[in-house]
Amino acid sequence: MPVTITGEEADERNQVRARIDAAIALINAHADQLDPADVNIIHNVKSITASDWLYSFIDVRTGRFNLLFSDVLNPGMSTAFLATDIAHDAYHVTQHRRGMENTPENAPLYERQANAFSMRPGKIFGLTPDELNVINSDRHTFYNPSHDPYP
Amino acid sequence: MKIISLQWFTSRALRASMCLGLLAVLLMGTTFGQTANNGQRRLVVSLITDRSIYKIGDEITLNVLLTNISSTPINLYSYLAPGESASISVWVKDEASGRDIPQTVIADSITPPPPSKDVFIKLLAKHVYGVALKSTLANFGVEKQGRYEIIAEYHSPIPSSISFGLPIWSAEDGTLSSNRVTIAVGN
Repeated sequence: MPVTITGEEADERNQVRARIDAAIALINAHADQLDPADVNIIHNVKSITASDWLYSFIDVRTGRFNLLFSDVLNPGMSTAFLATDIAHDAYHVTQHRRGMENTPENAPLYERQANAFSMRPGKIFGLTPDELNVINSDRHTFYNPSHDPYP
Repeated sequence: MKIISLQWFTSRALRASMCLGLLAVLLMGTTFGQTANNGQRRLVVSLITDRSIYKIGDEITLNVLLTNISSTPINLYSYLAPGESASISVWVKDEASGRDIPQTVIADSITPPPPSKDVFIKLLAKHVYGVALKSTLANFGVEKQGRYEIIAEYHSPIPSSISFGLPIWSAEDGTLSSNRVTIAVGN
């Protein structure tokens, strides 16, 4: 998988690279424990880019997963959480292939489904109970997510 | 079994542009968005774009500002990033058809559990906090000429159960929508 890092500070680039390397190594180390269907979903991520200016995103048409440096270096971002993040965004590609559109109406469901999926490999990657709790109780569980953002 | 093999490429890049800070000066002449009134705490989110006219393929900078319009401080998760599991969502609507534009480039910063209360800032009364988000129009699905309405939403990604004893603005406080900004995109 191609990984491209663009950023001004060499030290930051090296830190980001090390963390992404570690997350990929963690996924590979647990590959035999993952459900083959989940492995196929993770394979939806076709390339990883990291930059110090453009926010984190998944391009569901190409499988390009971009990580903003400050997301990778966010306090509290563990290797297991970053590995789970890759699985999470890989699932968005699956949703796109199933015909789901990411719109204001669908976005909460989109995210809930990806969170629900990512907990399965995330447990295998070693997420802590706190990390699993944050994913399981994301903000969409606290209130009715069916909202109109154009009041 | 190895399921992912890496090939690394590194290069020097573009300027860093995600900047956090007080941007009160940008509020001049801006229409405020939706206000949430949670007890004594009142917060409003505002959206300002760097321009109002763009060409297809242009970059766009969205300044998303949170203003504490109450008389008491509000503790906010300091890291403002776009994503449904993060702090900000941005949506674009085609003005002519009124249809939301589906996004195939999904902003998706994921928020890990905060390790300490250091990740929160205290936003004083009548003060502003915000982020400048840089993107391309194409990332928002804007790939043809027309007029578009943009709206930003603020939602804390942190549940009240991880507040470290601080009275934080939490995920349970719901979603706030900004003012709508209309842009024109030409060839």
